[in-house]
Amino acid sequence: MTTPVLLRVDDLSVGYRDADGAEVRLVDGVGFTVHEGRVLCLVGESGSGKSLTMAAVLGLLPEGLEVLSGTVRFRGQDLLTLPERELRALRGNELAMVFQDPMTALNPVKRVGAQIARAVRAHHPRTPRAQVLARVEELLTEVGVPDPAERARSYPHQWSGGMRQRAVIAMAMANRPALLIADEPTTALDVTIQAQIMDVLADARATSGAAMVLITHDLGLVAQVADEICIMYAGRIVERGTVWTVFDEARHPYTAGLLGSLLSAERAGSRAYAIPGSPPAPTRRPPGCAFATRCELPARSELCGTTRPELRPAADVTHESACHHADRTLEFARAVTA
Amino acid sequence: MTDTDLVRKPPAARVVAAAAGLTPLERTGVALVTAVVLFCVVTPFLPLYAPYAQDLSRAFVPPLTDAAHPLGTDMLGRDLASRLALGGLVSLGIVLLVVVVNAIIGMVVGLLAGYHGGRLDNVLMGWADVQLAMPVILVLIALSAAVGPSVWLMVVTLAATYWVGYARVARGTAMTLRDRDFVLVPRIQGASATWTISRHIAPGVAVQMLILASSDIGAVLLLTSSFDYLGLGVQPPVPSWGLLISEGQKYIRQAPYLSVVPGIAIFLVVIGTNLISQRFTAERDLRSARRRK
Amino acid sequence: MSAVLEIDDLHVRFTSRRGLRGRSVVHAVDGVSLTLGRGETLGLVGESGCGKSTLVRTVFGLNTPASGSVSILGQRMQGLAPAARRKVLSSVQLVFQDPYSSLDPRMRVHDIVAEPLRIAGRYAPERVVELLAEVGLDADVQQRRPAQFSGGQRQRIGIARALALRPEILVLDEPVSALDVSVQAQVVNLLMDLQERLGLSYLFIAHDLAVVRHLSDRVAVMRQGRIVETGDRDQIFDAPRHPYTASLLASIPHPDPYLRPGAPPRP
Ligand SMILES: Nc1ncnc2c1ncn2[C@@H]1O[C@H](COP(=O)(O)OP(=O)(O)O)[C@@H](O)[C@H]1O
Ligand SMILES: Nc1ncnc2c1ncn2[C@@H]1O[C@H](COP(=O)(O)OP(=O)(O)O)[C@@H](O)[C@H]1O
Ligand code: SF4
Ligand SMILES: [Mg+2]
Ligand SMILES: [Mg+2]
Repeated sequence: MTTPVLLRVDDLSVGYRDADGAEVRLVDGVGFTVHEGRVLCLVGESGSGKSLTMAAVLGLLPEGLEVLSGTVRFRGQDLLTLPERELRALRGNELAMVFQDPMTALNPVKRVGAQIARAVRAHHPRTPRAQVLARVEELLTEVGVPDPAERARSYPHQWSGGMRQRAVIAMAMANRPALLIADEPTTALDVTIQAQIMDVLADARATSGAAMVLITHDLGLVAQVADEICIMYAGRIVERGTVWTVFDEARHPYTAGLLGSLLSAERAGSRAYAIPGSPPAPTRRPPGCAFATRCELPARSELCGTTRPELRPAADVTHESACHHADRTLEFARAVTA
Repeated sequence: MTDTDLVRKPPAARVVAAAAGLTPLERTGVALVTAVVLFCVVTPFLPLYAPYAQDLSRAFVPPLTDAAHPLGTDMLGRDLASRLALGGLVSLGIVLLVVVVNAIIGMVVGLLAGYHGGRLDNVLMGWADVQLAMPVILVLIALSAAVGPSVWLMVVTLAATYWVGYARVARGTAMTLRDRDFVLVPRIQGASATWTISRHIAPGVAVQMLILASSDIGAVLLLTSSFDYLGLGVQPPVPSWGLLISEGQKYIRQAPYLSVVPGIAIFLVVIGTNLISQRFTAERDLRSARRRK
Repeated sequence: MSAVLEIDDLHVRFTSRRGLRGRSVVHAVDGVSLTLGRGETLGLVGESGCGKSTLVRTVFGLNTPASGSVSILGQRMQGLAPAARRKVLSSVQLVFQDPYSSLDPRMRVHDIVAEPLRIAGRYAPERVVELLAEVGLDADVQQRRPAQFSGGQRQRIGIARALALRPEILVLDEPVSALDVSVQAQVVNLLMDLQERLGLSYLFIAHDLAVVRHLSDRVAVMRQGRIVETGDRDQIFDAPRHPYTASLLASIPHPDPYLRPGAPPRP
């Protein structure tokens, strides 16, 4: 790949120490790279550690949790050792965020326009007022808010959920970030609104050339926007590759199961594949492969219960899998998605 | 520690586990209240116990000077330790009665108003507002003037007027719970209101009533003690802490301990219960904070 | 096919006071007619706020309709005496969307599943075990409380409770919307099995078209309190007549990267 690396995460672990001093790893040895202008999707069930991974990258971990290992390099600069002041300057400038609930980013008692203006001013404090107002209007127009001058003067509660998310995207794009981190930005929205928001995100990225890390559990969305995919399970990345190979040649039984459990037109009226059971709690992960209790790969062996599989090239260097029997998954994937 | 751990252990272990989870301040609260209550309960079984026996030759014995009267004697030579213990049983008994009756009335009114809503809600809560607007002390003075002061008059007046806070909380919780999905299930099945309330709504409300009651004990003790002091509550010769203070007041220069000792008893219980009840309010804030996340 | 549930020109309105002057009236359900045939699954799709849950609540008598009627197993619910109404209603049961608020956190699983039996005076402990087995849960879960279960398991418990009185109709109000993808498939498969075994009729409500397509025989599309289109599943999905249905369908992201605009040809 020739595009330069923007963000590189290596061996990142996040967690806490329990009462006995033992480490509980909620995110365990996660690594990936995001190239300039490209889209990486973090995919997995709720609780798999997607949000914590990106919170650690941004230095926004909730209280009580800490980074237990790893490095995070943004344009070669280590974010984990960066002083809070400099990190804050980076956030909202080169790094921007959009969350599932737009109200986490909006102040309910301030006019929407004023909040976007603040984002514009945050990193260019001396911009003249008229110029800021013009920029706010421009941003709102870019994210498809009708009557931007008028709407900018109203409060968040007067906006619908979809419109609020547009406002948050406008704020995020205010300083033309190089990397946009979107954590389930459309999960709370209806499909038609979701489609609009995804279009807005695509347009905003097209004008700014920003790369994006999209956190989602919706494989439909992933198929539509991703360049690269990381599938997470129980705090680890279990499969990593381009969108083209992961969807067509799943190299991990979990990915195959997820694809198989999609309810689609072709399978209407018949039984979809269902992964049995549910993911283990972070404190009760089995010693070997965390997926072993649910894995139905015919080739699974004793090794699965004893040795933890590491992420290794499966098909070629761009497609990796953390399964001892990655070479036997294609057949299984075909069977469950048939 | 999780709730389920607490549930599974035998009762004694649960008490130990619960105590281990207390902060030093809360443990102090428990210790204070336990000490005062133990004193009131145990003293009547001691040989020195004689709350009504007078001995004018041994009046005004100061505390800690006579082994037969460890807390001294009053103007009539009655043993102060005995009177303090009996007064404590009377005062605390009244407080408990008032708080329990208030909590029950408030819970029932609040549950009915919150669950049924509509007109019943308007009527019940309207009545509650009227109750709240009535100045308890003036009502009690007026009634005492009319039928003569008595301890029962005080208890009944307080029990009838002090439940509004309980009712408001119970109503609020009942209103939010009644539209929860799990409450819709029996409603859809055609279960009676009694069924639905007693199984799905009352248990949650009862816990809140208990918390409110625990934080109310100090306030009600102060209130009833002041009524006793004013002569509107417990009548002599039966002692209560409020009454002991007022009796001692006349000899405040000669024997200040007569008022100070019961005052300390009230103070200890008020401080102790407040320290304990803080745990519940803190826990509730914590829980709602967690839910908000 | 005989109809087990018939909704005829149903109107439900909410009046809310707005500030000092005037009230505003929300027509949450605005002239809805639907028919659910025996043994069939009718999918009801629509975006949030279009009135799906209000319709459900009205079927169960929790909202009073302004006009129109609901008939269950041929009996018109409006104007039925309470006792007769309760009897008819026991053949329709509801499964909720949110597996976290649909089970009383204080109660044990046994008592949760037993509640409808107890209300109807038909309680038998063996029946609870039988119901749990029906949804794929072991008898040893009975003494546990909801907090110890995952979302999918809670939804199973809710389904077991709904089956307690041997209903003929299940109204499923977004039963898998709150679940993870892998668990969604488990619950959807369970629902299909139950329908086959017990001959249930489903009114299946969702905003997720993929799930509706997977389960339904017929589909009704709801928008702003009205049904804009009803038809067989394949007709609705392959040849929608109403532009709103078409726009809904166009919004579903298809889980195949080679179908996105500008995708390379599949190797
Ligand atoms: N503040 C916290 N304290 C302890 N555990 C947490 C905290 N936040 C999240 N977790 C746990 O970490 C795991 C991963 O969480 P998260 O990254 O939010 O998952 P995802 O975004 O994939 O749904 C979950 O098991 C969750 O319960
Ligand atoms: N109790 C109520 N009072 C006032 N308005 C209500 C009430 N219940 C629902 N509504 C309104 O009715 C409409 C339909 O809501 P609902 O049936 O919950 O939609 P859905 O289930 O399709 O998301 C919404 O506009 C909602 O705000
Ligand atoms: S390592 Fe074994 S248990 Fe884990 S996914 Fe591969 S085959 Fe399944
Ligand atoms: Mg998350
Ligand atoms: Mg709904």
